[in-house]
Amino acid sequence: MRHRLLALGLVVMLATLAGCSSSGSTASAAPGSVNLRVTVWTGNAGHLALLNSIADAYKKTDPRVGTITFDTLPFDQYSTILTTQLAGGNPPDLGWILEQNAPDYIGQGVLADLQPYLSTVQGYGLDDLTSSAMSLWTRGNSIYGYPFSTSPYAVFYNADLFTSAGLQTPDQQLAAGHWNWTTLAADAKAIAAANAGKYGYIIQDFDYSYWPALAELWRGFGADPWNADGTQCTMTAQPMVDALTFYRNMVYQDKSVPGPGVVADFFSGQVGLTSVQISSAQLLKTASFKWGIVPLPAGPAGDSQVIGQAALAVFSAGKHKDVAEGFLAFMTNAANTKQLAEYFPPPRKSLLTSSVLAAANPLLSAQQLQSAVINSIESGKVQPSHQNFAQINDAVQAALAPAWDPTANLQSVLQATCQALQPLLSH
Amino acid sequence: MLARRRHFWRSDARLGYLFVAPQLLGFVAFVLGPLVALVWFSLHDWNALSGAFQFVGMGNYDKLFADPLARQALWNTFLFSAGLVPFNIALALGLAIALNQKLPATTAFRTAFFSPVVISLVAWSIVWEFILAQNGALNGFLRVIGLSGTNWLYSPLTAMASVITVQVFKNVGMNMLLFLAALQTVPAEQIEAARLDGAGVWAVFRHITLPYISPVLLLVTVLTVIGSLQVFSQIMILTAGGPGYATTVLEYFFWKEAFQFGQFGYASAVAVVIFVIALVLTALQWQLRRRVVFYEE
Repeated sequence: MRHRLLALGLVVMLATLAGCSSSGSTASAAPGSVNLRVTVWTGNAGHLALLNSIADAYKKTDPRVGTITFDTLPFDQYSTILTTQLAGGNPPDLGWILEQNAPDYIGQGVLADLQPYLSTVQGYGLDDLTSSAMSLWTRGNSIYGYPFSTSPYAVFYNADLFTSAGLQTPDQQLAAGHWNWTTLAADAKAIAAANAGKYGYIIQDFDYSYWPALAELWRGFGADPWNADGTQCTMTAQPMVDALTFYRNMVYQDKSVPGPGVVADFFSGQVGLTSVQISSAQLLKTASFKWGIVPLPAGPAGDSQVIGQAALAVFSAGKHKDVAEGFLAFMTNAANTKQLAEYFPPPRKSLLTSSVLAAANPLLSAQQLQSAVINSIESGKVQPSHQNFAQINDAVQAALAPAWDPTANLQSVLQATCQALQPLLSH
Repeated sequence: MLARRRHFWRSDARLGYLFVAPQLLGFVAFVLGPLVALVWFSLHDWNALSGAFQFVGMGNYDKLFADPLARQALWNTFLFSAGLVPFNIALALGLAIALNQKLPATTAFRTAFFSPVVISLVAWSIVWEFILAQNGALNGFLRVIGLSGTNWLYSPLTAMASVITVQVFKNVGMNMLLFLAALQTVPAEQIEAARLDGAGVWAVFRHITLPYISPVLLLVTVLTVIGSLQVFSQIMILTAGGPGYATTVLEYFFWKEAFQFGQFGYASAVAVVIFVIALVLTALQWQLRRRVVFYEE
C-alpha cells in the first residue's frame, strides 16, 4: 500500500512538472527572458565578433531579449546536425541556410515567412534587395530567408605559372576579348605540359563527388541538369554532353585536370587555374606565388556567372518567432548589412559598389571587384537546386561515377543518370 | 506467501540484486529503452524536416525489402564482413603466435601492432585516404619497386578491399592481444610431450593450441562479426559509400536515410534489420560453441 502511494505521488509530481514546462506566449514574456539561439557554420573569430556586436546592439533595443547565442556547427555536417535538431524537438530560433537546402526547407515549411513582419518595419527597404539574389528565397509574395551572403564564383590563376609557360594571363585575354573556355583549356594544357607534377585547372569544390560545382563549367555551354521548372531531366541534352565531353577531354586527353583520387590544390601552387568562390581569396594572403582573378569564362552559349548563397532565416518550429523576426530585421537592415559586407557580399543594390566591397575583399583591385564580383552578383544564377535535393544529389553522384572512368561511354552514363534522376524530379 | 517475500528481502539475494541494479538500470535506460523506441519509430513515416509522424505499420519494411539499394547494401555488408572477419582473425592469430616468444624485440612489435587501436578512428581514415590516393604514398611505393598501382578508392572492387584492409589494420592489434593472452594459457608441458611423440608444428597447433584457445577464438569471432556490421566512419571518410554504391553497407545506408534524407522512420527500419542480423549471427555462433569450444569451465 505504501509503495502504491509513493508511485502515485511520483506520477502526480511528474505530470505537474510536464504541464508547467510548456511555454507561454512570448508577447507577455518577462523582460530579459527570451534567449535566442542562432546556428551558423563559421567559427571565424572576426565573423563571430561582428555578429555578437550586432546582437549586443539589438539587445539594447528589445527588452524581451536575454541572450543571443551564435551556435557554430561544422560546415560539412551543418545540414545533418540541423536536421537532427529539428527532428529532436530542439530547433534553433534562427539559422544560416545553405542554398541547396532552400527548396526543401521552404517546401517542407521549415522556415517562417518573413514578409508580413518585414513589410511593417520602417526603413527596411525591401525593394533595395536585388531580385536575382532573392529568387531562391521567395515564393510569390513570401520571403523565407535573407541572403546575407551572395558570393560569386570566379577563376583564380597562378600568374607565375602563366609567365613561366610563356602565356598571356587571363586578365590580358579578358581585356583582348577572348577569355572563354577554349582559351582556358589551352592555357591549362600548356601549363600542365610545361610543369611536371602540376596541373592546369581544377574545379575546387568538385572532388568527383559534389557535382553541382560542375555548373561553373556547364552553364557556359547552356547546360543544366533539369529544365527551368525542374520537372524534366536534361542531362542527355546536347549542351550537357558537350560540356562533359569538354571536361573529360581536359582530364584524359590534355591531362591538365586531375582525375578522381588525385590530390591537388591551387592554393599551394600545384595548379594553374581554379574556379572557386571569391571568398577563397583569403587563402591567398600567404600565397607563395603571384595570382590574379577573372570572372568565369564565356562558353558556346555565352557568358554565364554562378553565385553561391547563404541566407539567414527564422525557423517555424522555434519558440520565440516574433522576437527572432525582430532580430533578423535588425541584423539585415541597411546599416548592419553594410557592416556585414566586410565579410559577406550583400544582396542590397545600394551596397553593391566597389567601395563597400573593397572592405570585404582587400586583396582585390577596384577593377577586379567590378568585373569579377559586382557584375557576377547582379547577373549570376545559383548552382542547381531542387526540392528533394538530398536524394537527387545522392542519386546523380552515384549515377555519374562511371563517367569519370577514361573508357566510359558518356552517352550511356548520362542516360542512366536521367533514369535515376527523373523519378526524383517528379516526386 | 508473505513469509517467503520477507525472507527474500532479508537474504543475500537482496544484496546481489542491489549490486546488479545500477547496471540493469543503465541497460534499460540506454539500451532496452532506445531499442523499443527504435522499433516503434520504424512503424512510422517520420519526416525530420516537416515533423510529420504517421503510423504506417509494416510500410517501411515493405519498402525496405523492395528497395534495390537496400538489397545492394545488404550484399555489400555480406561482402565486407566475409572479407574482414577471416582476414582479421587469421592475421591476429598469426601475429600472436609470432610474437608469443620471449625475444627482446617482441614487446616493441606488440606495441606497434596495438597502437592503431588507440589512434582516433577519423585521423586513421584521413591518413589512409592520402595513402590510397592515386598520387598517394602506396602507389608511389609500388612505383619504386617496379609495380603499377591502381586508383584504389575509385574502382568498385579495390574500394571494397581498401576499406576492409583499413578496418582490419585498425583493430587487428586488439584481437592479437586477446590471442596472446589465450596462448599463455596453453600448457607448455603438453606441447613438449607432443613434440617428443613426434608431432609436427601444424599437428601441435591443430590438436593442442587450437582447442585451448577455442573459447577466446569464439569470443573474438563474435565480437569481430558484430563490429564489422557497425563500421561507418572509415567508409564515410574514404569512399562515402562509393564509387557509385559499391561500398555502401547497411550502416552507411542507414545513416544516409536518417541524416541526409531526413527519413527517420525508414532509417529505423534499417537499423532494426541490422540488429536482427547481428542477433541471428551471434545466436548461431553461440550454438556452435557446444561443438567447437573445449575446456570451457
